[in-house]
Amino acid sequence: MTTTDEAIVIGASQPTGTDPGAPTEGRVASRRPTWKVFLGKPSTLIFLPLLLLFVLVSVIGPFFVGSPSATGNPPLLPPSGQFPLGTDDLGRDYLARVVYGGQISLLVGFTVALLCMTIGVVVGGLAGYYGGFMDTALVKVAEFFQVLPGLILALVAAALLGSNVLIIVVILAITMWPSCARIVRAEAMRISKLGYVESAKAAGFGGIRILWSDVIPNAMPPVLVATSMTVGRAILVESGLAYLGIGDTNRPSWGALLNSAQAYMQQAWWLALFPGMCIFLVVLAVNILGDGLNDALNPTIGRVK
Amino acid sequence: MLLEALSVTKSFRGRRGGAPVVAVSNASLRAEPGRFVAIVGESGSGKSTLARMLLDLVPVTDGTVELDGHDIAQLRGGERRAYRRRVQAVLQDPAGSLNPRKRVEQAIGEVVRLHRIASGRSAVRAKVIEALELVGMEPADRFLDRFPHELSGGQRQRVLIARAIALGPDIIVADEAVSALDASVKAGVLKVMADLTETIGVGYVFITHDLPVVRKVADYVYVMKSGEIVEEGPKHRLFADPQHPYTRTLLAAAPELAPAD
Amino acid sequence: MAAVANGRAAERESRAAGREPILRVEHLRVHLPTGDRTEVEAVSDVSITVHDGERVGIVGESGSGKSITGRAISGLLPTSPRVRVEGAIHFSGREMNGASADAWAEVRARRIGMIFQDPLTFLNPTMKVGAQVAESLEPQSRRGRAARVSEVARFLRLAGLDDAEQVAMRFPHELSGGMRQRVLIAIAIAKLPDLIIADEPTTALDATVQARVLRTLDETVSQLGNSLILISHDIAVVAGMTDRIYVMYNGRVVEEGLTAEVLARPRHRYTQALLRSVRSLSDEHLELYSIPWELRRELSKEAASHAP
Repeated sequence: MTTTDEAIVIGASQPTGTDPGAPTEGRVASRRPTWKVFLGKPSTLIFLPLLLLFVLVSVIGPFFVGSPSATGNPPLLPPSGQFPLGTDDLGRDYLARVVYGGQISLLVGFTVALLCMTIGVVVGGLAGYYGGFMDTALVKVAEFFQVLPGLILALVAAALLGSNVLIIVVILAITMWPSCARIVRAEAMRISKLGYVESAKAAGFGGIRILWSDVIPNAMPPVLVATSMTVGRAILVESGLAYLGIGDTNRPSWGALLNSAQAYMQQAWWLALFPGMCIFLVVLAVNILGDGLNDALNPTIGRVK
Repeated sequence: MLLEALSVTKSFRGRRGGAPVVAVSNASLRAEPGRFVAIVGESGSGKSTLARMLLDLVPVTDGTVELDGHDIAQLRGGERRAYRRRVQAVLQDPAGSLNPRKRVEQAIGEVVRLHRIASGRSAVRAKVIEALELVGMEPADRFLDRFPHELSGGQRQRVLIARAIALGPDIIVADEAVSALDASVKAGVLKVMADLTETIGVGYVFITHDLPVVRKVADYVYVMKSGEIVEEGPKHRLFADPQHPYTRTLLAAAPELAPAD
Repeated sequence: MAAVANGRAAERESRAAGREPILRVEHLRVHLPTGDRTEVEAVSDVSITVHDGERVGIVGESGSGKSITGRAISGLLPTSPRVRVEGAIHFSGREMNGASADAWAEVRARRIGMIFQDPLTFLNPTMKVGAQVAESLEPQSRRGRAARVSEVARFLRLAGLDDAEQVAMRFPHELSGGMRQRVLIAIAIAKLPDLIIADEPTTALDATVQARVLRTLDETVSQLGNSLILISHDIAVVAGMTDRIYVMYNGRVVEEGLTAEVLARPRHRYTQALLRSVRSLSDEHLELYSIPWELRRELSKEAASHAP
């Protein structure tokens, strides 16, 4: 059926250039590429550099700041020229601690998000594309992991295996992947019904190849948005866990710093403020960027039909 | 080369204990290179299911589909791939049969590579260009890097045909390949398809609900209703002297313009 | 109900006497956004007139602007600031272009019946069909449940659904495509509109169903005397049902006139080419003909040279 979609294609009757060989219909108006739309958004222009700044600081910062564990300095000094973020109760340079803490928080956030995306894509893709028994089985698996009480799991794991960054990452990934998988599965199911998947089958391509080459790439937009949101969530959950005392004591994340800052709320406001602000800004930035990404990937918003 | 459906039946499990749904019942047909065979029917007639059984996209419940006497369900490995190359599909677009993220060169090139028609970037590209030219998209290199949304409906359909013929198939099964197109574009694509029977000797199984179009291009016609083939015959006979009441209804239904003075 | 119908009939007579057409569109232009910063003139300088009781067809390929014109006439274009509509749209003498959403809604509620292509998007999936027809009824005839039910059944029957009472109790997804389309017809005629605008009403339907629905539309419009604008890419469909026809290409009207005239003696090259193409699809003795790109390019150039 002819649709008004094509009505926008009025430009089709004006062929580009004057080459005689061009067939009757010319090039239709193409959308602006996603990344251009994304980078053009004001929210992106503000928050992407902010996020990149945080990442940069946590990567190269350690080369420029002092030791986060050296306790020789006077304790509980407010921010000053010598100690821009003050010192903590043991006299450690707080700037150094926040910078190193950022390493942990950001590492956990991005790693967990990437792990969730990977597991989610594999599980969701297989379930959505193949359907049937594989789908039922994988959905059950996802449901199992979803209902696991992450907090208790973390506590138990910490008690049994000690609490280092790796354990935290693994636990978070284990409890958070099902939501990504659900999105992938829904998209995979939808896409598998489309003409080009059927055409690929008819052409002789095998299932895994179709999944990899046709289904998953087209399923990515909502997955990317969800993954960017996962970064924020993972950081928050990790901060929460750290706040409860489950975290690597030798390499405290921002959440762990917040935890330690509790006891000194009255005297040393800076101990809570700086890590807290960092968490807030990073999570905010990641959420806003994820939202912007969503807008950029969904061109129908604002498009006239 | 002969592609045959022998008394094929397809039934689907009914919903939650309901009766099974019989989509196709006891249908037989023959298709050969160089011949244009049409299956005509309305929605629910089972024609698309029959097409998909010919393409082995849907397994038969009963009966067999045979290629040169071999049951396609039994084919394995190299033979199966050969079957897929010799029997190609052109399914209805609109905007659904091409991966929106793949450019034309990749969409056609990947099947060329899969069936090892050519290898190496330049050889594959040459094949792609050849196929595009055969469907009248010239100069072909203008279209190589376009995405589906940068093509019009008629152009997308031609790309689908190009992808099918790039492999030098014996038979193309086309399901509603032109139904969604405007009259002039439809005529253009049909012309391309009809010409290909002469230039490369390909045969068609053309599935459609549009009876008048069939009169133009088909050699042999099967009429389907409710899963059964109710009438079949050479085109002239069918149009001149339809036997089955349903065929007559279909013929009468199509709105037609009076011929020019 | 009878009083209203009489009132309408009287209005029509006075209109016919005063020669004020039901719809007068003059120099319509519609600009639509095509990207972040680009826009296109989807409809350029289109003028259409529909007289009382007349049936007018608008024929064109996809991209010709015919559907956009249909939506502009019924005030259904998206209200984004980047969508600009210029020109005059006189509905029964009342200037509608630029009118408020409320004004348009009022006109659409009582004066214009619309039958668009995809019933599924136009019918409320959670509401029974009968209730949706009832919404369309004249306020007076809505009094009393029994009266309502019988009116709904009457219009459903008029629209070709014999099993009216049964159908009224169903939800849209429980009906076949052809039946849904006829429900749309029922909803459109239930308001006793002056003008019915049908945009590709049967394109998504099978051939036999299409024939029946078109016949139904034909008979209904004859019986009730509404004016009709039938928009389609299928010339055969429009040919059978209209008195006058407008041929659109690339946003412009390239030819207009009595349907029989235009089909028998087309004057514009595009119409000639289009007719030739359509005929070549069904006439065995004609070779398949597709409008050549050279002609399309010339026509575009011609159109561009007319642009202000």
